[in-house]
Amino acid sequence: MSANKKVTSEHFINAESNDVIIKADNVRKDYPNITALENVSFSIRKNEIFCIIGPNGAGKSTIVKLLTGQIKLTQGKITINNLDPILDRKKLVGKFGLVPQEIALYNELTGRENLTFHARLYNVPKYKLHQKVDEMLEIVGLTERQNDYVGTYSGGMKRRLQLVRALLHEPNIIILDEPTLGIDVQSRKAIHDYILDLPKQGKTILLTTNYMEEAERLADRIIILDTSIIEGPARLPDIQKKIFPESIIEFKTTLDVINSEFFDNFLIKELGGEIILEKQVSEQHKLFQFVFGTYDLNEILEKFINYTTSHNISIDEFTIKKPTLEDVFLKLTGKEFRDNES
Amino acid sequence: MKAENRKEKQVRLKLKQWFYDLATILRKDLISTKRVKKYFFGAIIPPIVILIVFSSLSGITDPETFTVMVVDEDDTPYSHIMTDYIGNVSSEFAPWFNVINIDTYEEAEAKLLNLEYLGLIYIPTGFQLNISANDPNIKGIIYLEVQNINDDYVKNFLQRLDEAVLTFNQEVHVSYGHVDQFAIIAQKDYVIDQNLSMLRGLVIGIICMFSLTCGLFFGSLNVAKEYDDNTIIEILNSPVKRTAYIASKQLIAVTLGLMVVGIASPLLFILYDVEFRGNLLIVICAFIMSTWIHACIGGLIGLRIKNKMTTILVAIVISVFLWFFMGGFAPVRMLGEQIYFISRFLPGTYWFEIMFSETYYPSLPYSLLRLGVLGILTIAFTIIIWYVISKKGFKL
Repeated sequence: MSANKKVTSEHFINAESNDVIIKADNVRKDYPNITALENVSFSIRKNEIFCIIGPNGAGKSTIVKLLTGQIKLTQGKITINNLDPILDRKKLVGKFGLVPQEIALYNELTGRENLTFHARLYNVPKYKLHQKVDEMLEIVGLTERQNDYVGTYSGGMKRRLQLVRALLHEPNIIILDEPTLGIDVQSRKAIHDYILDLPKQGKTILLTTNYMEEAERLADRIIILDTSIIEGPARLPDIQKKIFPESIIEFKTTLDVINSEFFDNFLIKELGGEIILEKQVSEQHKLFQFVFGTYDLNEILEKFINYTTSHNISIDEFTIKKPTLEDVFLKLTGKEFRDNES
Repeated sequence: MKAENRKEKQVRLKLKQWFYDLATILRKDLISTKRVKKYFFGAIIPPIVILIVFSSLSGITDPETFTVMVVDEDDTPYSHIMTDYIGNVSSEFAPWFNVINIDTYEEAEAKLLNLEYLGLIYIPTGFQLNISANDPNIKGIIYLEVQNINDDYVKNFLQRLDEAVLTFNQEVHVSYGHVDQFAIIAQKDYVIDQNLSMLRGLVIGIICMFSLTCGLFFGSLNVAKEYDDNTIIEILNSPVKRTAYIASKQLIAVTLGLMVVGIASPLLFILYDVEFRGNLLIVICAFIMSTWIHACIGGLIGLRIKNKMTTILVAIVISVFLWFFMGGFAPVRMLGEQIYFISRFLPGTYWFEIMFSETYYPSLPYSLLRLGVLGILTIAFTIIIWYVISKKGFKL
């Protein structure tokens, strides 16, 4: 995550409530025979990238449909700029940009025609319509292919086109429903870079995704959703700290340094570590994993470096293993969360 | 005053925006339809298939036969001469008259009333006796009951029959010397619209079916396609007025329908030697209204089904059903009271009646009355679909 991003995150933690753009309060949505959402509450603040992650069927797209007024709530309240998505639809239409989960482009139209059609639907003034379309095509690298039918585009190109289409009418709120689903790495990176730039332009973003690395890379705050919110809204490190308060250090060293002074007295007794893996990796080397009951490793690392330096202990490889969002997600959703837990 | 002006300005702006939305979607739909031609064929193939099937069943080389029953109750040499002449009334220039012999008058009358045949020639007992009675006041009488398909046919047939009677009279005069003891015809007419075996009626039915298929097909497909391609999400989240959206689908259907019928009608008229004698403006108005109504129905189908292929199948099946119930297949009065009753509620019936009447026996009051009914139905159907779209919206 960039430095800019961290600053932005701090801004959100201290933000006043009047910065809230989207608010969900005790939301419940029932479909026949199934409850899609239950007791969901969150607030999305101005210029924030707010991410909803959850497994398939967790209710992510239901939240998008509720926000865009496509379906009605069963219970609770949702507001965008203090307006109800259904009751105040007329005031809200055109105020947000939506990138739907599905590819929703006219295959028989060219890339340019798709954008122009969207611009006209959203009443982009004639004098800047073509300039805006050119600009958007340039941003996603589709200028060369602008006059080709969208049906001939790759999945990644369609996703990129769909993303800029949602921004063509310059909305301040952007709802991205799994915007990089099933596309190549290059296209995903291009989309990520563009999304990261949006808060600087004053945009507020709601992102739903299945990809943990996407959420890790983009989100200021996240919620983990599985019908109801099982964690968050919070910054990712805060969630990681809460779910996995321990940290893991992995190092490889030569057999001659293995003694009870270093392991029993220093690593276990003094630093409070617990050995979770000991593995012979070559004739002369062993791999160790120690778990420590703290998320913040700064103090431990300092002592470890001092000790190994002063005792001439040679460490060949050293890794700090932090739980990823995926680990957090799997733990919260009840699945195995790390290979070396046993 | 100021408030009124502001209100008026707002209404004007809203209207302007509505037409702008309409034009935007219409432009996009026209480009789409132009590029995806396969759907265009879907709308014209069903009527053409029906025309080919029925044409081949009816015998395209002999497009129309005018079959008349002959009941020879007299069964005498004179009546036999007469039936021979009647059987040969077809000429090189009017080859379409056929006769079929029926045993009893009652049987023939029933068939005539059931519209199985177009005419009945009845030679009662005493025909020969009367002619050979040597009493100038007694004539050999032939009764004729004929259903009036259109004036030309009946006039032509009567003329040919008169010639048959004249020939008979000359024959009996020359051969048997019964001076002034001629056979004559007592005539009464019925009027019907069309006959099962009348291909020229089928041609009108097919032209009318184009209106149904274009309306239902494009009305439903253009909506269902948006759902199938997920592009409806784009429309739903935009500020576009939903009535403008659906109106554009209806306009597309009418435009494409006009194109199809504009090309197909003259071709069919030439191919089947049908002469249009009526008021083209009335027919065009009726066509536009009928296609618009069926596009409304199509829009509702598309909203309900939301899948291209299923929508295409449903639109075709409904077109065929409506075509049958409106009288495209056969005159609805020939298909029983219940079907006739149902047909009165179908907009296609009025469109068919106008088209048929304007083609074969134009009658302004007849057509204007039906045009009025179509106008009312157009308004009703438009209100229904616009209400459904505005109030119920379209759900994903």
